[in-house]
Amino acid sequence: MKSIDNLKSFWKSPLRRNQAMLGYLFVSPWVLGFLLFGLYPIIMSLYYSLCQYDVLRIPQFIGLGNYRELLFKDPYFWKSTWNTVYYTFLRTPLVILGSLMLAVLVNNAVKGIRFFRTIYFIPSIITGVVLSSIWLWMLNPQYGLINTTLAFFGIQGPLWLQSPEWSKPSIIIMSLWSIGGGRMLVFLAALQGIPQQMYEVVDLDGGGWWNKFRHVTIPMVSPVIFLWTVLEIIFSFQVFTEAYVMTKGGPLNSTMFYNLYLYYKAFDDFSMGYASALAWLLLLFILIVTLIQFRVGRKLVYYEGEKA
Amino acid sequence: MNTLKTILKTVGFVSIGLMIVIPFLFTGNEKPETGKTEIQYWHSTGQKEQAPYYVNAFNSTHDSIQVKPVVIPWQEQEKKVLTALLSGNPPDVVNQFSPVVKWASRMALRPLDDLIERDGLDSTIFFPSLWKEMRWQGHIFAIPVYTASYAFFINKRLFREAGLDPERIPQTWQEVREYSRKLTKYDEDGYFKQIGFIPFYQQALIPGQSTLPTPIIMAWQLGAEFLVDSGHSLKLNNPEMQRACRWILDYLDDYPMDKLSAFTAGFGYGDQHCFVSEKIAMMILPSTFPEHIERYHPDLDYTIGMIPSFQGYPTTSFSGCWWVAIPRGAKNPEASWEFMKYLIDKEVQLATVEAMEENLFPANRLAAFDKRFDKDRETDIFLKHIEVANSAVVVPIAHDVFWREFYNAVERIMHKVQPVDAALEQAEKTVNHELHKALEYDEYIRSKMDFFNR
Repeated sequence: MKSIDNLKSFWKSPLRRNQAMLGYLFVSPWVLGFLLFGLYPIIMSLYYSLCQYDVLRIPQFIGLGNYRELLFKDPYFWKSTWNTVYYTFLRTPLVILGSLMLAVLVNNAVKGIRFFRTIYFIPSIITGVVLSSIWLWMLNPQYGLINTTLAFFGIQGPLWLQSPEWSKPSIIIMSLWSIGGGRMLVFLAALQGIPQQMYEVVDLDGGGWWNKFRHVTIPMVSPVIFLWTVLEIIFSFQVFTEAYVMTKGGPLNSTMFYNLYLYYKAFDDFSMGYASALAWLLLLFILIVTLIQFRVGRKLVYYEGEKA
Repeated sequence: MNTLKTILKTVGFVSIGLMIVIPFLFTGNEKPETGKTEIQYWHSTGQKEQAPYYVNAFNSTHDSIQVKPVVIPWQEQEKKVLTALLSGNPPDVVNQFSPVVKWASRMALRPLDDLIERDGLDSTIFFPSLWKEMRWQGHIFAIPVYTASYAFFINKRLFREAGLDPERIPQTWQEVREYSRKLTKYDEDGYFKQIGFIPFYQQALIPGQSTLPTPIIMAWQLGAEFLVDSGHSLKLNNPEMQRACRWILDYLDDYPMDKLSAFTAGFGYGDQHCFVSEKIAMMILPSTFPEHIERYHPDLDYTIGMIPSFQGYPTTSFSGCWWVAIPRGAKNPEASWEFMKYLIDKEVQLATVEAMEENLFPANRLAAFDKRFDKDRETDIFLKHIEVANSAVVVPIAHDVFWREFYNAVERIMHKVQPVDAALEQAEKTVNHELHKALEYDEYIRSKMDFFNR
């Protein structure tokens, strides 16, 4: 009851009321923008996902028809989901581990370390389409840099993007190109935040580099590792550009990723209702995976300041 | 303190007010001068900086109508037109290459029947395969303006090198097969250095553009009918298609698939195109290709002939065209129609193809067969192909699904993942499912609004 009384007296004061009004006024551009360009489309896409709809004509409500078809009838749905899951769960650990290793490497106080940090960072500046074009040539089975190098050592390289078995690994290898980017920098910042005394304690106890890494470095950066794992999994689920530019989903649909299929459905076939259903299932899937991660993460992550 | 608040408040309210009002200020139709109608024309051919020849010509001869051309990027033409339509303020005339039916079936275009009838437009002046594409459910929705054609290109230098007579272009697929064996070369590791002909491989000229693969041409030549049941279902798993696929599979026995994939992976665009870089000796290519050769390899010694066929069967080709139409909701249909009629005038068509940088063909046959246009053997061969062309729009209201499934099925067959009939059957089933869904939706829409009687 007291809190309601407080609220009443709050609104009775003209000064307070005025301040509150001003506050709302100042956030209103954002709120309006969000309602109009954020919330409204989101809610509409949920409605369209229950419809047959081609944007140019009116939607026809079909209930859960799109979802039923996706889950039980559409082979491309499962194929593209599998491709995306494969990509995500193979790529994420490699990317995280790679970035962390690089960060540990450039955390050393050797001469000219800034130069090396820059060198490792540079590849991440190159963006999607250009990167894809470069790799298209590097991965060329007959003339590409990779297979020519392998041939030099007497190894017969695979067909890479032309092979249904190797096309996904190729795209994963390609995405490791940018491990030296923003992720490495965040890891580096975390590494530099570790107090030196902790390592000295390990020295006193007679532990080597492995013990330092295992018992000091990993626990101290574990919140960052956790954060990036969550983010990377979300990013990986949205893989699109590489497949769109390089393979168009082939060969034999081996790189037909979830978002690529969604794109074809929406913008080639104009099946917007179906594409909306695909988008909502993706959201649901990412949500579940993220919730699981938070559950598991609670046990594995060490937060400073919390009671151990 | 109070004045500051008042100022802040006023600024806040005014800016919110402006946010709401400003969008409405720009939706009104601009009228440049009295007595003049300005129409917006969207196209994706030609250069960005300069208006197409026919727009300038039209503007200088018409006082009451002025055309304002806007270039939209080739790869994004569908998406741009789609958003313009949805905004409710579409351009007055669009020039497009994607299937007319894709838009017409979705009621995105204004039916032109009344205008055609009123002005007595003679549809027989157009190539029949092109005019057929303008029609949807008995109504005409667009007018064809330009088209491209195809032909069988051969590399004369490689022919001579292989001891073949470059003046004797193979006429049958059997001959192509024999020629190809002679024209194929390997390096010391057994990789291909050069191939005569790859029957399932059709490389686009620019990224994002698609081309038709040989299996469907073969099936057409054998007389295949794909759309049956008065357009209500697709028959892809037909004897002709099966025969074409089996023939190609047999052909590929001489060319191991992994080596073939490694070889084709090296092809690119521009001077990396496999015919331009002389890696493939025989290929079905479009009528815009000679210019491409001119630009990237002017010394290339080549000639063209009719697309080969099976012994005893007539040859065939495929077509697509640039068309103009009035989007639904466009505000000046009369002025737009005036401009569209101008575009298909014989003299305008002739002058336009002359001025264009692309090598396109007039959709108006009177212009195409005029001596001023049809002046050499090459043009003649391309024109012959347009006369025997099939429309690339095989399944009108499931066009993109059909081609995606078709390519997938051919890929499965060529990689021997699935036997011929199983692969075709699977694709047929998927397309039919989508087709039936589209038809049901169409029925629903018709029950909701009587668009055609408006």
